[in-house]
Amino acid sequence: MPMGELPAGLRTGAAEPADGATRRTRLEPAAGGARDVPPTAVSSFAEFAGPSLLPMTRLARRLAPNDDPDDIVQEALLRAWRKWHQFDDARGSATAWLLAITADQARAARRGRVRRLRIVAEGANVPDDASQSSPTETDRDLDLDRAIGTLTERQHLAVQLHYFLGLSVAETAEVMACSAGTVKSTLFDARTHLRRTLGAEA
Amino acid sequence: MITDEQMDVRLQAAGTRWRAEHDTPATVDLTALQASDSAVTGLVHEVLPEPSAFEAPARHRRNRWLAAAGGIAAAALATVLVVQFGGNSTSGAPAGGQAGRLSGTAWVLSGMHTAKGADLPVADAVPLQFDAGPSVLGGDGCGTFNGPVSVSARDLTVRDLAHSANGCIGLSSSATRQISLIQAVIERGTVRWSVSGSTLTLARPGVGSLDYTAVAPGATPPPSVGTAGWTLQQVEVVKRIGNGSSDTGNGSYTHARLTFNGTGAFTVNAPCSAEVGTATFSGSSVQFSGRHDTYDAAGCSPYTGPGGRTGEARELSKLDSVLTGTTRWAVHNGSLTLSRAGITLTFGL
Repeated sequence: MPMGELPAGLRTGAAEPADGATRRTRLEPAAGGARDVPPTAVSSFAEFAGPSLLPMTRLARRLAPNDDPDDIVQEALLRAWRKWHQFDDARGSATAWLLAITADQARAARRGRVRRLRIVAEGANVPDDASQSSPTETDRDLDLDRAIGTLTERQHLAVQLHYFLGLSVAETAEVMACSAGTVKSTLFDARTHLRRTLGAEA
Repeated sequence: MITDEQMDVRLQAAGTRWRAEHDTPATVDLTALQASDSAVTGLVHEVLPEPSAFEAPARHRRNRWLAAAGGIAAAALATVLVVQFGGNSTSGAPAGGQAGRLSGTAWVLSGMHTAKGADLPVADAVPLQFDAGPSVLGGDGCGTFNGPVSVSARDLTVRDLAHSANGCIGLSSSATRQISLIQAVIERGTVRWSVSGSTLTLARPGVGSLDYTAVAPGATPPPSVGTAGWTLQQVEVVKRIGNGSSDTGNGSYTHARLTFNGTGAFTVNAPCSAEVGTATFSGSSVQFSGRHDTYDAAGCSPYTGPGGRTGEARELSKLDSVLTGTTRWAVHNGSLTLSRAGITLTFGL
């Protein structure tokens, strides 16, 4: 992708200079203090993260269906941006790294919802976690989604990554920071649980 | 019952259909990555009824970015906080002696007021404590902060503040206001302090004030619990299956470290996260409150712990369930057990 051409969904707005060379943008006032980073760094980050944007969005939708996926992905990208210098492509792909952050961010969003539910008075108009899963095409898929919701957290993540994001077993293993064999056994356990659950409902 | 192969095919088909329905990426704004400086002023302006002397209102930001920006703002404050000893400071005052009036007591947030004296709701009774360093350790509802503090007869100044802030999205507006006000009052240098009865008040003229109430004597853990710190060794869950029940136990992925500090606060340190809150002991029970956690997902990627990130998350969810509200505790044979809601955590020294 040519420098300056951003992937769909990524917007840099007015802060992105047209010439990409003259203006410097103040970024990341985290540990170590504020530093000046040339705006081309943002374009580079956009190139780095852009191909992963759709799978990140899908994962956010699957793992936190009651939260805004835009917020989750935005927050995940913010964290990735701040940790970008730590990324080591020898240890895994960019997509796996970004999906792992997205998965954690979706979890944080769910925990934030729980915290918010504690704060907000009972009876407030807050959607129930279990009541609004993503709409699916058929009743069979609805049943399947409901059954997937009963999986353990690790099985749940493996199923979402492999079947709903379409990642290979190896890619799923990268995101879950485990071996391919572990993913296979986790998926097998998940399918066994689903077969039993759906079989009992039939 | 369908076969494993049939289940695999069904999942593949469902996934394919779902992906076809959801082929649009999120819309994200990379300018937000560049806006952290102005986010600081945006936060302060959001909470204050009038602009303070040291801030100018920033351009409006989307509400959903407010809480997330808090984390960045706090990090920015931690690094650029250069204390301005202005007219409020009483130079040369015997700091150690004054700090002694504050240390040894655990405080929890009990009231918040704007510069004009209007009350703001407290979303989370976060802790604050001083030690003989003197230093301050506290929470704001989103993360924790700590750093050295100098105390004079009237003023209290923090500097070189370290701050952790994560998992701060999705907070209520009152929680966001609380975070912003605490940051604006405490984390920006010199603040006036006073103690009246059991209430500590920290006030920053033109910004607002915070009331902290001293924690009851039960804040000190029993001698058998002590303050040395406990390491999580076992998580047991009682699952009810039909008419019977079963115990399931396993070891610990995280070996999380639970410490009661002796002044009413507790901390839990796990590989990827930390929690802080207050604990009040009474007989065989302990009341946990004001707990909040910090979670640095990106810093833990790739995770190398034995249980993986998911293992830690699962274990921490059990910790969350136990370190909430009233929990039974016991110490036997050098092990501390905490039990609540069918979950028993066993800690060793």
